[in-house]
Amino acid sequence: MSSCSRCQKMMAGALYQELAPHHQQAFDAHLATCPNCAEEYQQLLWTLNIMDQRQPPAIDPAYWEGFWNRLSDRLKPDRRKVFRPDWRRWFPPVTLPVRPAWVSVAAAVLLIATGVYIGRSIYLGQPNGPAAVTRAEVLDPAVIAEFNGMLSHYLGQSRSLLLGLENFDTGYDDPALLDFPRQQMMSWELLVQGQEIKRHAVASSDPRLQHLVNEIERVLLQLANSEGEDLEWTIRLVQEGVEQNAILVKINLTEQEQGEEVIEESKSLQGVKKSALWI
Amino acid sequence: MDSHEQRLVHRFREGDAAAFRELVERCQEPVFQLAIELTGDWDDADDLSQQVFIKAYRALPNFRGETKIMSWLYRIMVNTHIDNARKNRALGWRINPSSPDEDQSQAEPYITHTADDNPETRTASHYMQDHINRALETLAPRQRSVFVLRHYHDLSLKEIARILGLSVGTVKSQLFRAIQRMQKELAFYKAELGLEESS
Repeated sequence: MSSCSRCQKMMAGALYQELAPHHQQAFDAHLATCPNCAEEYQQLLWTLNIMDQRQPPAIDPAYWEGFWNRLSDRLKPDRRKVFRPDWRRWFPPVTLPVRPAWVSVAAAVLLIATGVYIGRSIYLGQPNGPAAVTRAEVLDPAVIAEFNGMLSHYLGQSRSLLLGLENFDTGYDDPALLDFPRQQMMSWELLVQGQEIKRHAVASSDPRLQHLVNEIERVLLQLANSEGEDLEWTIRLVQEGVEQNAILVKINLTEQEQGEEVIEESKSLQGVKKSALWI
Repeated sequence: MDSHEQRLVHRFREGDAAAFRELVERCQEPVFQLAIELTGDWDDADDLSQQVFIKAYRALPNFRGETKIMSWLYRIMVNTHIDNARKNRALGWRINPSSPDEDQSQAEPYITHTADDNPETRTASHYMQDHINRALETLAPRQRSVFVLRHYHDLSLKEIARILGLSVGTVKSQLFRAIQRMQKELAFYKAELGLEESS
């Protein structure tokens, strides 16, 4: 990278005196020898001086009274909603108003279907339920291969689900176009798979994977427990969770590391085969 | 979050509606100033500020208090502003509806204007403000948010990165591009403004 492009990268920090002392020194030294960059710096400083002359509007105090009244009117529908304490956010609310019968039937069918689906996908072939993974088991190549498959599926599914929501533009796209019940179902499925992966991560002393699954779990719970009343808000919460924890980046890194491990394993297996040929 | 803000949030969670009004009154001015800087239009700023407080009202029960309330409101505002801009673009609307010839006192009824008896300086100042606002309007919503938060709200690059959920490097490059863009815009008017570059 040329020193001019390095200088350009430091320009914003230099304009606002936010460079570390050694960077500032390097920046000043470059300006002293490069008339082009020095000229550009002066031009940008000039621009900031002009922008400094902007006069913010002085707002009449009378405006604020009307502001609150209008805000209060717009908040009226929200005030009717009852706040639930934090811990209750994780559970669906139990309300007893009269609902159309088909809503109750549909909810019951969905609940049973979810249970059957999760049960079939996780417990099939395991009559006693999932056993805790032992330290010895995680060293077994067959268990490793099976786990890698499960992890790869889990990460891939989580990525596609979260990426879809991350790219969803709440200001532009229509939430009705989202297949929300399917995404909730998928979230539940991933939550169950996440438990299995966490058990394996604990047994194989992999705190990074454990941490990632925990972060994914927190976001999926927002989705899985959403009552579907304010989809836009749920999506925004999911997007914030994904962005704040850089979950998609972490998933990509984990997948990349996992891929490298598989290549290493296959290379070492090929090495064994080649050395067997020499014998 | 300072202890007073904590108390207000706690009172609000306990169902005290007056606590939210107090919170709004505490934050409304900087929120509205930022809204004006982002939208460049009185009515849009009014609507944007209200949207921010409505979203805050809904989200306050889940607010974890890891940041200052103001930073949190700024984050809501920038995201809402970017969403609105996308929506308007999709609908083919322009963000800046005001024309330079429009009577400002009529368009912005609650702005207190400073008395300036000299018509010449008043006109020069008016043109200067107009050009500055036009330079801001040339920026994309995210660039404009970064510039305004750094330049007019004096937030550090790190704080802006945290508020916008971006890396510091991205904030720096957005800021650099924003200033470059405005430099081009203002250079065009340099002769008209009768300004000499500082050296």
